[in-house]
Amino acid sequence: MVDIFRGYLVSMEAYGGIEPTPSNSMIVVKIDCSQDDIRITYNTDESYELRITQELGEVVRVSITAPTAFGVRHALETLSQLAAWDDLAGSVVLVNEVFVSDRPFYRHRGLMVDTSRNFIQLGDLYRTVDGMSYNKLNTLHLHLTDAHSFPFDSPSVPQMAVYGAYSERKKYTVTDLKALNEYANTRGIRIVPELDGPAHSAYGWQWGPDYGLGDLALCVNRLNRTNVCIGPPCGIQNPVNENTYGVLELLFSDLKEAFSPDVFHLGADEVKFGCWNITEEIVDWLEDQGRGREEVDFYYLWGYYQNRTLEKVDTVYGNIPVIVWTSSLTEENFVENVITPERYIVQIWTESSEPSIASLYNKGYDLIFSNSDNWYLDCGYGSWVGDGNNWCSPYKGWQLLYDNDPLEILANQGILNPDPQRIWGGEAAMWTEQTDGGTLDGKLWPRGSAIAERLWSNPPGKWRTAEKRLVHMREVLCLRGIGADPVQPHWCHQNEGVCYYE
Amino acid sequence: MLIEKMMTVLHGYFEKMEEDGLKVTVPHGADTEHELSLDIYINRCEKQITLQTNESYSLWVNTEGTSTVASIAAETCFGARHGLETLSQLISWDYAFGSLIMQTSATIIDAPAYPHRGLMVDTARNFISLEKLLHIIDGLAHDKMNTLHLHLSDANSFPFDSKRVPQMAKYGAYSPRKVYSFEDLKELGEYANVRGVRIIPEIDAPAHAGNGWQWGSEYGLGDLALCVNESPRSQGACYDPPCGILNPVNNYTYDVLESIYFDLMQALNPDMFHMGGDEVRFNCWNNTNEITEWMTLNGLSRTEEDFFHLWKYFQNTSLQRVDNVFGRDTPVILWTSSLTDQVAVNGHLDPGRYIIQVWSGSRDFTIPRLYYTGYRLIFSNVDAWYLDCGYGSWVGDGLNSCAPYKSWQVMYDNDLDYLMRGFGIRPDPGKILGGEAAMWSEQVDDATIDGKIWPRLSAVAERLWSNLPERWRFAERRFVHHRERMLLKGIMGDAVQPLWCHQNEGFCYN
Repeated sequence: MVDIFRGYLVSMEAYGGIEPTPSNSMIVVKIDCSQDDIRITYNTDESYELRITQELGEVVRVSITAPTAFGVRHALETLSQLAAWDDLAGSVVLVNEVFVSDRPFYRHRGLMVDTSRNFIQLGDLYRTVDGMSYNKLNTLHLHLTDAHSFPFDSPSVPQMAVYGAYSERKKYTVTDLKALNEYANTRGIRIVPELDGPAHSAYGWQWGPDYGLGDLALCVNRLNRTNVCIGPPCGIQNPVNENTYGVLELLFSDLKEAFSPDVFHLGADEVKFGCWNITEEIVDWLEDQGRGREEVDFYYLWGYYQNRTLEKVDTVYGNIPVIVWTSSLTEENFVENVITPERYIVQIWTESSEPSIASLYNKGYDLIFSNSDNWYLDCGYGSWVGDGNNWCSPYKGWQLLYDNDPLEILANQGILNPDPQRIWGGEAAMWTEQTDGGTLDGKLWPRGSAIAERLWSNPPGKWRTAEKRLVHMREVLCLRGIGADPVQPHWCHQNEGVCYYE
Repeated sequence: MLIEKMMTVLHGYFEKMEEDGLKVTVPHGADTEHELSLDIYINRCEKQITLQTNESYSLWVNTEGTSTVASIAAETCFGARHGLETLSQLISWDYAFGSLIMQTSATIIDAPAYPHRGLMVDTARNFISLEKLLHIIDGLAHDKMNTLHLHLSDANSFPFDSKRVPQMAKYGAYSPRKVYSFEDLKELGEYANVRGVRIIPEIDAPAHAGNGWQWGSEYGLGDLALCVNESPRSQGACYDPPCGILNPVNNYTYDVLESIYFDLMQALNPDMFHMGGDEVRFNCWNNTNEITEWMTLNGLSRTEEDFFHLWKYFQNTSLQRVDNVFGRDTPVILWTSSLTDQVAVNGHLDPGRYIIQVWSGSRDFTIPRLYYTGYRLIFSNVDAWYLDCGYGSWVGDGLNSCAPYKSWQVMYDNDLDYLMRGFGIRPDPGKILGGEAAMWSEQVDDATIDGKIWPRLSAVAERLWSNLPERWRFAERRFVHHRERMLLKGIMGDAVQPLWCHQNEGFCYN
């Protein structure tokens, strides 16, 4: 972590581009840390104290005190923000008197990146981790797979990538992901893998019949999607085939090898029953269970799938918390019997005005916020399946991301003093139907910085109070190699506080 | 020789294809060498592209045994260049074989529908580095676009380091790192020419001018610009911050302009010049004693019509300076504005001299008025061809002023004939010169400009080159593939669909 900090100073001097003015100044950094944590978890204390004082004789003393190494990391990050290359001085300059006592408000502060709709190269994921560390974000949720592609090269089930990856060069091995995980951990970031199911599954799952295992997925790439599935492409896992669960267990096991996550994401969103309803195997199974083909029967089947899958998660991971998206399953009356509040955290992607948010809180669920009216990063572009703009348009400017306050959302729905333990935090979601490596940075940043401050500081003010600092942060990100989008003309950075309409 | 330089660029494409391909494949499919030879016939190699340049070409590809001959015939080098560009699209890297493969036979006879096919880049709101501009020209070449219009300066900054007037950049550039030297622009012009692209410099005036012009008083020339960086901005003094407008009654203003024009002429030798002329608000002039006194002396009071007189005076006087530098045959471009709207009715700006760049919406009645007055038109209508729309506001809440985002579909479908027919006009030949997609840079710079220009610019490029009666659905598969092709050539355009759609063509619909 200290090496990373040194790297910041080196890059500042590189930006300066000249031989720094020689000086006798010395910075002495003393670190006091009681627990050199090995991995960041939800229980990690990320707080720190940072003190800078200048003594006589040009010695600047920096003192960092933190309960864990991850707190120290955050302190070093803050320290790096107190230094910059100064063109006039011809050297790096540092604030010489400061006391900072800091801790995050929420413990789950993240970005979600979809690596299935378009493949995201490892280099781009590494750089995303870098950007997150500059913003004290601590969770990278990888939406690894979806109907479009299955880029995870599972050693136990190599057929998944053979049938599912876009190409030889667009997949992740366990080695790849393990290295990424280590890199992330050093930067205070945990990776949460998501294997979305039963829906959002098609490519990667088609090989069952070829290997004598029956259909592991159904309606894959079906042309007529009306009332059957969303897509394109169509596809949903086969919940009545035992082999489906066998494969899932192997995949979970491989992912454990890659990430050893402290929480797992099962997806569980957007299940349409049309496909199951037209599959003979499933209709027969329902009949054997003494059930018909009403909606309530398919919810029963979905619940069955969910419970069987959870069994497999438990076999591999033990009783770790599991995250699922909001869906019709989390709305129905019997949700509590399947998606129990004891095991499941719900990630909210509906709009912030959806009453289901309050309803979920009142039923006892822990919540993670990614409400699509403010925290979806992909909105605003052209449609990829027709005319007009994409479904969640318009574009969410950094101002909307900054102002999106989970506590305010709950208060607006009548929940005035929620149990802070149950509001884990949030994630900005980077769905990649229309993004890949070249444009990822610009869409993640600096909007990612806006949500990062909302989740770390939970500031009382709205975006206007943060504008100058956000515009400056964008420049800092660029200096560190993140291709962040400019939000204003450069004139506004040089003339702070004057870029507004009367 | 120009054509040799163009061929070197083509060679570069193949080398890059092979280099990138060999990084991931081991050649194993081909055991004999296949030869590609090139015959090029050019009637007359013009040195620089103009509105009259014949950009047509024919391309024949024939294969016998292990030898393929590609023949290109064109009137000019620029036509031949387009032939080379098309030839490069017939060749790609095959990952299965581990080698380059190409079409064995083809007959292509091709010519552009419009002579002015361009991209405007604003280098004043945010600076765009020289490296990035050179890179953008690469992209233009791949799209057979032939114009890069540089909106060089604006109220925010003046990045051009004029040799004759060094104060401009000293007072106006954002920083020493954000400047174009004379040599930079010269290099840009030459690089562009080899790739079939002309550069049109724009010095926007009298409005959209501020930073860079503040030094007048210090040097004994009086105020060259007024209300510069005025804060708080007085009622309606300017549209967006920062404020700034040139002083039309100070003779030195025109001297400085002429010097800047001279430098640009020497650096770029452009075949057209852009004088800007948009969004003038009269409040600043109305609040300036020097100006109101001048108006009184010249028999004008302070009505709106009087200020239009003053604006026309500015335009005519600065045009004289343009004439001094570029000659009277050089076409001059102006944006649509309240002035062009007025003169369309009253007729003061010579239609023989001025070309109007239309940025209003496609249903604005200023368009037929301008057409009937006799102006030649270039289209950059805001409802389709503005690349910057759709992001968050940079001056407050909500979205930026021309939201929503213009998708590639909207850009592709912007058919200029159809647009004019909407006004009952079948344009005479030579009246609609073409168009430009506009990359205003309030919210873009080097870091993200590729993705905001491409692949949408390719949609505009096909509209202006081929001008097909069909709409975007007809072009979708080729468009998505072209985006992949551009990626391989290093242009980092945005993704418009999941890769699944490229691999399963025609299946991504609702």
